[in-house]
Amino acid sequence: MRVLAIDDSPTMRAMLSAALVGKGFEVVTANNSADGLDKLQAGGFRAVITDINMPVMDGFAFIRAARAAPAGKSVPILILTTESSDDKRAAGRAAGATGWIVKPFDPDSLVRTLHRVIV
Amino acid sequence: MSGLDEFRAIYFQECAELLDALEQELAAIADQRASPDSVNALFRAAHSIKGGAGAFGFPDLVAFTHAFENLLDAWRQDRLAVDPSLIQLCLRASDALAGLVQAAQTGAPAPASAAELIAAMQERLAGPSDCADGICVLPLDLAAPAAPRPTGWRIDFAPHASLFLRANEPLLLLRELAELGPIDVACDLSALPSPADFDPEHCYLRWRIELTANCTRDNVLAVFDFVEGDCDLAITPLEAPVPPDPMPIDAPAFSFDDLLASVRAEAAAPLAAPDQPPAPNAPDLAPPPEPSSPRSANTPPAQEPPKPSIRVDLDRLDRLADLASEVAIAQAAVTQYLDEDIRRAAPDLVRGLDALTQHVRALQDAVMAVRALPLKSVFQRFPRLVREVAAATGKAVRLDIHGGEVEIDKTVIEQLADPLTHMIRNAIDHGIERPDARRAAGKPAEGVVTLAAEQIGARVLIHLRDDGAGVNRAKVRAKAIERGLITEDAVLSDEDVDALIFAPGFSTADQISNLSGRGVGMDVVRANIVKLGGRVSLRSTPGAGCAVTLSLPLTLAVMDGMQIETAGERFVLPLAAIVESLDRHAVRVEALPGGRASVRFRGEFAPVIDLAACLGLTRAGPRRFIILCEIEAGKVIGLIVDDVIGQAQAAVKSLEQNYAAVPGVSGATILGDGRVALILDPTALVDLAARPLPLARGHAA
Repeated sequence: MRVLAIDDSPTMRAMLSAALVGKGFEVVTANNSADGLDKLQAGGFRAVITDINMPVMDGFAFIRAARAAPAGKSVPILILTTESSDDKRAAGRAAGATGWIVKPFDPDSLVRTLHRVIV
Repeated sequence: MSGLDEFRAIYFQECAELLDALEQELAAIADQRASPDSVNALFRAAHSIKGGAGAFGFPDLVAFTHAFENLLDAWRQDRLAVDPSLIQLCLRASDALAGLVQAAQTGAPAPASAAELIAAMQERLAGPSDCADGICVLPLDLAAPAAPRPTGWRIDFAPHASLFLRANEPLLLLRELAELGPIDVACDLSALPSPADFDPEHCYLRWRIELTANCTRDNVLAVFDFVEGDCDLAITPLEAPVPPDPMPIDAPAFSFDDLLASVRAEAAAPLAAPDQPPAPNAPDLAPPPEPSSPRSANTPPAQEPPKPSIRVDLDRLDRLADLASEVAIAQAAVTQYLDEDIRRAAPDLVRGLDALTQHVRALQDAVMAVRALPLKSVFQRFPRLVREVAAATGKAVRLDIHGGEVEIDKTVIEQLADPLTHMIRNAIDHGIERPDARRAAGKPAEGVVTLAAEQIGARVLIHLRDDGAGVNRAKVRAKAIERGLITEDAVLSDEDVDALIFAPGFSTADQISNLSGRGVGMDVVRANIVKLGGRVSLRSTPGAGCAVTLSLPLTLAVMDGMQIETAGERFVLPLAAIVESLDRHAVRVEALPGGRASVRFRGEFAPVIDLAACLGLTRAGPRRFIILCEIEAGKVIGLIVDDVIGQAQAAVKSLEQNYAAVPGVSGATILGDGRVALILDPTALVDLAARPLPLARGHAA
């Protein structure tokens, strides 16, 4: 299952990859929203995980752009948020996010959450 | 995983921050300064530490944080009696947690108290202490008032079209419910329209699911957390008799949209019909469900909402601050064109510009306020440091902190932690004496280190005082000679000797102690502070202690300045430093013994410095004014300048970053007319003038 992970932090990208590879996922990473959108256009992703705080185009803008594109219209998109950010979640949902992953995540819960949204 | 070390480093960094937060909130609670969110913050800290501990495989840490988290969870849900013993327990747990984190990080043995504390926390949670005096405080559970637990739940689930727009999928939700227990699903097709009206992006199906499981309503709600608001959802206990209650716990069908609509209608009502009396609560009109009732009483009551906040990239704030500065410069440029003729001809324009000036100023203040943080965000980490260093050196030390509420630019805050840490270590390691030596000197056995901050004008002063032995001047002198910093016959004042501590490469520790000596000395501390536009001064009294003062600019970005001109060049002086401007020809400039010029000010002699000469400018000027400036330690100096132009807000640009550090100059700014002007630092000018520049004497008087 191909998953697109967008985060400007190399550590976070590495952690996402490390948590998912070997659990039945293939992870494609992007280090910004524009790159993420490009990769998304290629299609074939079962889910997208995106950070919110990114320079230039933040995660919310990414989700809106993805939802407006044929390739991103029906792909589950999970935002990375922290424990206490209900407002982020609401904003993510308003932008079209499917759900959220609470940071810091443990690998198992990440996999579980992905299975909650991948058909 | 090759990157694991990297993740671990990040995790431990986060742990350090969370432990700080934990300590700070506990202190706040102990001092009864707690905010409504304090206990939640404690819980989140423990919870986050546990999350990472699980990811990195630290079972001791997981076990401890789990017990701690449970205790805090019970506390935040008011299921515990809050008394000093609970706070004491949490304080001990917080200390042990710090030890466990360190153990996980370094492989050191875990603190011995951990197991005992886990037991104590569990015991507290079990709640025997609630039954003190024979009065038993039972946990208040509104959801299940002694009713038998339902055997399962009936879930009426009707997705909205929006559920699909967010790429959620009802099938997955049904599967997830099935993980809780056996489900019996009935699909309601009655809403299906005729093919002609069928919208493929709409959802016409509804489901009634009967879940047989020994789980809570919250377990069921958790399945639907991603689709909250995108569906109608009603959850009723199975086989639980629904009492004919006027306030039903479970509304037949609850829609978040309806709720929103009713809240909006309520909010709009007084505006729409201002003349009508407030609508009475008419029960026969069957009002929409009260906001609190449908979401079931099982969810805890809505918490006091934390102050909403957002995280913003510092880069964006910097950009904002830069833009605000540019706006101020443009506004100043426009204002400069306003001569008397225009002012008379277009009073509206002038009024508009005056308003603009005020708004621009307010804008800059607001931007700066966003960047400002209270110093306590850095101070709060020091009580732990003091405890650790005191323990490691066998000294008894108390830390007093004052002025934590003083705010300063975030960039400055971030770079203060290291120098202050180093200075505090020094104060305890080298300053405070051992308890027996203190007693012998007639002092209390416990040494006191005081960290105090205050704002003076546009600067923040941070004082670090200790009541130790003071600088050992003989030792410092010997070391300086040994290091080749001074010659053996050098004649130095006490202050000069003390100042040697800041000389590069100086260290008084005979052996590099593992506390203070970490390869950096006070010279690095000073360099760091100077880099921030700050200054360090030290005052030592043998036997009574030592005081180091850091003087820092409030913000690095904007300052109120006075434009002056000398030798054909424009300069800016910090307005906060200026005491008075004098007509040079109306005051008496006297020569003090030694040939230094001075003026009398408030009964004292203020040394007078000729700015042009001091800066090495040779062009002759009228030298009409003497500007009296207050410098550090409350002293006043006079600066001779040609002309005083006027007040201006200056957007400070670092010379150091764009060019190089220049003595006497703290930065540069762009004037309203586009010219670049240097911003002068009066205190540093004194040092500059004291150097035997050949021109300085000639023009001074």
